[in-house]
Amino acid sequence: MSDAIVIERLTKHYGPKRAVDTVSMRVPAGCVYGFLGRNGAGKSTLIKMLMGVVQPDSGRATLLGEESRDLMPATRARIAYLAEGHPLYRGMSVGEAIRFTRSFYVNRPFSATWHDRFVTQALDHFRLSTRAKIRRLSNGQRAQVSLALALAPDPDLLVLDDPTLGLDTVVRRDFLESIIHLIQRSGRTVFFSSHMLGDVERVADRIGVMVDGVLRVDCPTDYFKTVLRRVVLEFVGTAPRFPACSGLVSQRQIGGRLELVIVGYGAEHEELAESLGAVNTEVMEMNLEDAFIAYTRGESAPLPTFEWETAR
Amino acid sequence: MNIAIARKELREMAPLIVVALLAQLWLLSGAMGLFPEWIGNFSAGNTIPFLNPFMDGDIVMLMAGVGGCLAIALGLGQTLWELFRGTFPFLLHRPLPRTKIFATKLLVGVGLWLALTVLPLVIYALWAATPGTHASPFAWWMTESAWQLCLEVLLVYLAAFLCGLRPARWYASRFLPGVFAGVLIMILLILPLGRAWSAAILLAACAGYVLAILHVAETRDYS
Amino acid sequence: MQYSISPATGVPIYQQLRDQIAAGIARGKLRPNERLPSVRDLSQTMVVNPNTIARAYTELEREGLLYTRPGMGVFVAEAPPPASKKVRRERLQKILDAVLVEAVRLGCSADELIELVAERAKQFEWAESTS
Repeated sequence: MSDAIVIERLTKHYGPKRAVDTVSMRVPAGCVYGFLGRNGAGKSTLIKMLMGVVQPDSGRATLLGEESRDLMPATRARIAYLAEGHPLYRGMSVGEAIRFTRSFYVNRPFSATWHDRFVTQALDHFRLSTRAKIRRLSNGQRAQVSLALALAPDPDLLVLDDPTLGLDTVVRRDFLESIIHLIQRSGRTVFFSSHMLGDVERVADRIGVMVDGVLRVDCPTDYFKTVLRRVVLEFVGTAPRFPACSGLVSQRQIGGRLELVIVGYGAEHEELAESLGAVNTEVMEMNLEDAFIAYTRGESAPLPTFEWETAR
Repeated sequence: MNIAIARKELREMAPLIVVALLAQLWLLSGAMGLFPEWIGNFSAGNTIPFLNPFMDGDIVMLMAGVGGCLAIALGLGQTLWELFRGTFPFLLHRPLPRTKIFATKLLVGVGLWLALTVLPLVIYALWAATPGTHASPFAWWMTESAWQLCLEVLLVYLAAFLCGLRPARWYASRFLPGVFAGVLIMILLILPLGRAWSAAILLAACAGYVLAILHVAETRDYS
Repeated sequence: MQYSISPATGVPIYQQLRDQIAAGIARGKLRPNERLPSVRDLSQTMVVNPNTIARAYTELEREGLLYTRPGMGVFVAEAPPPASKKVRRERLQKILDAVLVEAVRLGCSADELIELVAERAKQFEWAESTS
């Protein structure tokens, strides 16, 4: 199967800061890719470069086999893009926004589709009136209008920049259901960034985690959960630092305990723990949220001890 | 030219258009003495239409002034309004070459310039050229400075558009294209160039601004 | 049968679903030759990626708990013929020992444990003959 998105060494600086640092990745056609990262990790910048809204300093990206800098209109018509915050023209009514968007897809010199019935059904489903003014809609309703407009051309690729940000739980679930519904048609690719780890785990085939502009994780969602382990070593006296080794994601020292997060915990790590003189080793599975925090928090200092407790 | 985008632009700029239209109608009917009992007759007394546009309260100057204000508001409005509301990512993702999107915006601006700056002056000139409408001499050469003013208004519009679109680190440097246009207009006032030369320079400057706008539109970051 | 998944655990979603279906069969909530919901339907009701559901089904099929009839759907397999007594003993002894270790550690008496096993056993479907 071909790749819907190919990113090669994409880099962008904002002043001295490297917002996106030589990121390369591939999203196969038909894949649902969940893109994670903390605020300011560079997710949004990467997505904007994909869509040609921001120009990369170096590197390139291809969408559906075409250079993303200058997508042909016919290719753009096959790609849905929900920008952050669901921007729409606030002065328009829902009906006007639909007519405005529709005009770019019907009677065009290239082949493009627009499903009027889908839009009507979506509005019915979300109980939205075409006469409602966009400026009077809630965040959730605006997101729903955006989604309906993005899906009406029956896109092959969807790029969603934190689509559920600021939505309440019910609207979020609605949104997820729409995405699940969408990917039933095989070959459709979805690339979405999110803060909601639970949502990502439900719908994503693959996940990527970006930390300070660098893509640290890019693997199947199940795999991420299976290979990551939290290992707690107990020592007599203060715990030593764990030496750098393959698979070590993070370590935290709390008194006599050393908490490690390790990819593919195995014999090599067991030997190291023994050589450090650990008296007890406990290996635990991790949920996505803990794994995400381990990856993105980086090297953290030991917790401060509360002196007033021990001073007495 | 894309009709849907053109209609959207006209709708968004409707308040500006209405204000400019009312101002030009008021000036025009006052100048032609259409409703002397309500508006008065600006051409009454010893004023001579088109003779000296730089005299205080001259109708030509006022009309060009209204056109200039509209040009600035329009140029900034068409760009900053999209930037502030964050609608550029939505607009630019429409399946349409980016040049065409911006060319449509510019064509709307040029259309409004024709309708709200050039047309009122043309009507005024035709009225002044019609014998028996007013008691002062008229010759077509007298209108030349008015047409130069029109071109200057067009330049101001394009400069305002570029100011709004061009990213800049701080506010003062944002207005550089506007400052440049202003300086050019001042130089043309002072230098005793012929009308044809002035017009050629202004048109060349306008073309330069259009190219700059299309270049910036293609290369800037919309974030 | 209702399935529920929790993202708060370290167990991948496909495995949570696999375990729940396996438990459903062992407890008799899912009968042999009963049709399971299609991947598509289950994906929509659970709001989970269809590939995840498909993976759980494939794993269970490989283990012999489910079978696919092309064009018809996925069904619960007949209970496999009982393994020989020797094999049964070997497999269970290991798991049982782990339970016993924990029971001793918790200060549980042997009678109490046997009582508990009998109580829990009522919730499961057992094969007819035990030879």
